[in-house]
Amino acid sequence: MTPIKRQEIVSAYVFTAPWLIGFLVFLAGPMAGAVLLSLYEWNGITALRWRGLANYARAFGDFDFWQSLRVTSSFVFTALPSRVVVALALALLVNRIRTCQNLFSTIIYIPAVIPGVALAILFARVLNPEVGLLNRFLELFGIEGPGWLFSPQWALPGLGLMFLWQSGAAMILYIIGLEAIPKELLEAAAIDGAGAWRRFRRITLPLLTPIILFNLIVGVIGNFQYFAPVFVMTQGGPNKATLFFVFNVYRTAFEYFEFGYASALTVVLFFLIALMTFGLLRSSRSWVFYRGAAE
Amino acid sequence: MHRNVLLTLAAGLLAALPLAAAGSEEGAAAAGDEPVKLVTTFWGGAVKADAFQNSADAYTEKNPNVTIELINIPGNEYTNKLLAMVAAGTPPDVININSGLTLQLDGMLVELTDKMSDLGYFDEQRGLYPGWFSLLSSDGFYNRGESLYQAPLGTGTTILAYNQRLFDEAGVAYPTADWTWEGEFLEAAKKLSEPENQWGANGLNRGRFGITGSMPAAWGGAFYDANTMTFTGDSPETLAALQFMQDLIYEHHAHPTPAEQEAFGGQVGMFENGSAAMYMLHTFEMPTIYDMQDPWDIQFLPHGPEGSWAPLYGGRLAVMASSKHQEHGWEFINLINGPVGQGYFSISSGFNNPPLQHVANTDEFRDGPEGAPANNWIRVDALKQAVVTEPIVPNVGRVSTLINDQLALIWQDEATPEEAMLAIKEQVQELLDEGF
Repeated sequence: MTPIKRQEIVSAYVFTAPWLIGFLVFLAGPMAGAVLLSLYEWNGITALRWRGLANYARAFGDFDFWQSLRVTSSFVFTALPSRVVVALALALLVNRIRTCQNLFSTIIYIPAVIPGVALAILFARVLNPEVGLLNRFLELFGIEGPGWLFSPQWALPGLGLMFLWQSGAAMILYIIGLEAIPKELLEAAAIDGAGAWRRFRRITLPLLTPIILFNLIVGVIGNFQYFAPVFVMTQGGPNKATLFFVFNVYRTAFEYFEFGYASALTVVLFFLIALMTFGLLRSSRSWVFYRGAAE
Repeated sequence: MHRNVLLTLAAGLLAALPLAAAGSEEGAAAAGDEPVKLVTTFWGGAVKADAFQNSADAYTEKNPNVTIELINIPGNEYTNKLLAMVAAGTPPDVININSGLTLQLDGMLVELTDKMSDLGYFDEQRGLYPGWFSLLSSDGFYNRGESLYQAPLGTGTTILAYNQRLFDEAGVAYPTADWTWEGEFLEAAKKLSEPENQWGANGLNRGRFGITGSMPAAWGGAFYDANTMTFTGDSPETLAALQFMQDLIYEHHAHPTPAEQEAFGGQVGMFENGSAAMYMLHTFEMPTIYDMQDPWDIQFLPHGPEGSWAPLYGGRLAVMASSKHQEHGWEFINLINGPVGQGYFSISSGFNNPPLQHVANTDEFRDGPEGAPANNWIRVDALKQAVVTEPIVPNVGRVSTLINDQLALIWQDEATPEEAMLAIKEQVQELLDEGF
């Protein structure tokens, strides 16, 4: 190795050192700590008691674990795909608007920048069964609105609606993707006689698939870590209908003081997210179209 | 106002003399003049923080060698921050303690039984209100003679507040101490209700903490049998109490549903804005409605088949066994519970009730500060027959969650009390059986 090459390597390490140190101290360290702690029983004060894999075995018989998994999974498999569709539809709509496009984009994007807690408080009012805007709106059509956050059956769909309302961030990415689609491709297809639907299905959608994949991966991670709205609006209720995975971990650690078991749950969460992400990436080979790869 | 406070403090000091004579002088200098730093942690808002600061100033004035560092930690972070301080080897000397910490800090607190006994805390007439002993007990149910590791800070209960304008307009007589839940109270609540914008009563649908925990006692029930540590939420008496509260909401429409509460101003807010004529008022909420527009007053809670029972709750203090200044820690706690401290914590603010009867039974506190209702004394006497609603039981966090989740279903009319309680009976009992 030449002295210049060696110097370059040293420089690289020196310049990346702040991040590496931060990663080791604030991310990798606590992660390793959580894995270690998951093998013990600890209430935050007393001496650690070795439990081996018992904390993991406990999860299999724990109703709250399975309930939180059910709630989170159903959110991931319903609210997340719905948001992909809504955000894409909004992007197509905004993209077609010729006047005040930025204004509409901004309006739709605003919910994405409202702090989670403020949004939760706002939506608790919107979803109020008695005076909430949503049920008042349904009343106009003679529909008696449900109890939303007060009903075990409707609390999760209520949170889903709030999640959909925050489609702005995903929409912006789709708009960028739409702008990047070569106009000549669409024009050529139109000249060849392809209708609007066909152009969308054969050109627009395939070229947007990398962005859909990105949104799905970010969405899966975000959904598995869904916390603030649950903490503020429902506390996991009613009757555990909104007991999301991370809220269950929080409650186990900081309300029941079972830090070892809570750590085991976070390790399980890590693998669940990794598995879902891996599955999405693996499946993307068959449905994501990369322009560069085609060329 | 200031004059009143000074008079109160002076009167309180005089009243405390016999007790002080029985033991050490309140806030008196502990042995030695070496510099002492007493770290005290607590949670709470501005009123409580001011009361702590004033009490600390009073203590350090008497003990010039002592400095008191007060650390106010946000309530939702308190337990975890304190656990972190202990785990890091920098525990405070005096702590404001809650139910969760009671189990966590088992074996790490200074026993205070003898100190409290010496200063008359156990005196039936002048000492702590009877319900307090279970609140101070580490296992939730006090057995006479057991060791106590916690001392009170301030106490409170729930009383019946009523809006005199709404009563007058409806031509309903004001509540009296003889009212029964199923008789006069129910009739008045129905008469005072108007469809969709006014309710006769509010504040009964809580979690296990507070009045929902004490209502079963008025029917002769409870959520636990103290002697056998058995879950009794499904006993006929407890179910009858819960059924009464559910019927008040859904059969008589005399109490708002949770959704209506959220829409019309919340628990105390609905009383304050005149959309609820009666309200089960936590005493610590009283100062917040001193300037309420409508005239209002308070009364004892109505009677059930087994009498009138109020909930008893209170903040507690403890001295850490790791403290090098345990004596000062206790003296500071004693000052807080005496006339000087309670002058700040309770008398001038109306925020708390003094935990010691001889401090509570001063004219100044029975009359209350400016804005207090005419029958302010009822908040004092209500504590004579009050039960601890959230005792320390094994797995207290999980048990509380289970019960509160089911209570929420009852208040939502998603389950009958029987269905709700039977659904968790086995699970709660298993958690109780695990022991401490």
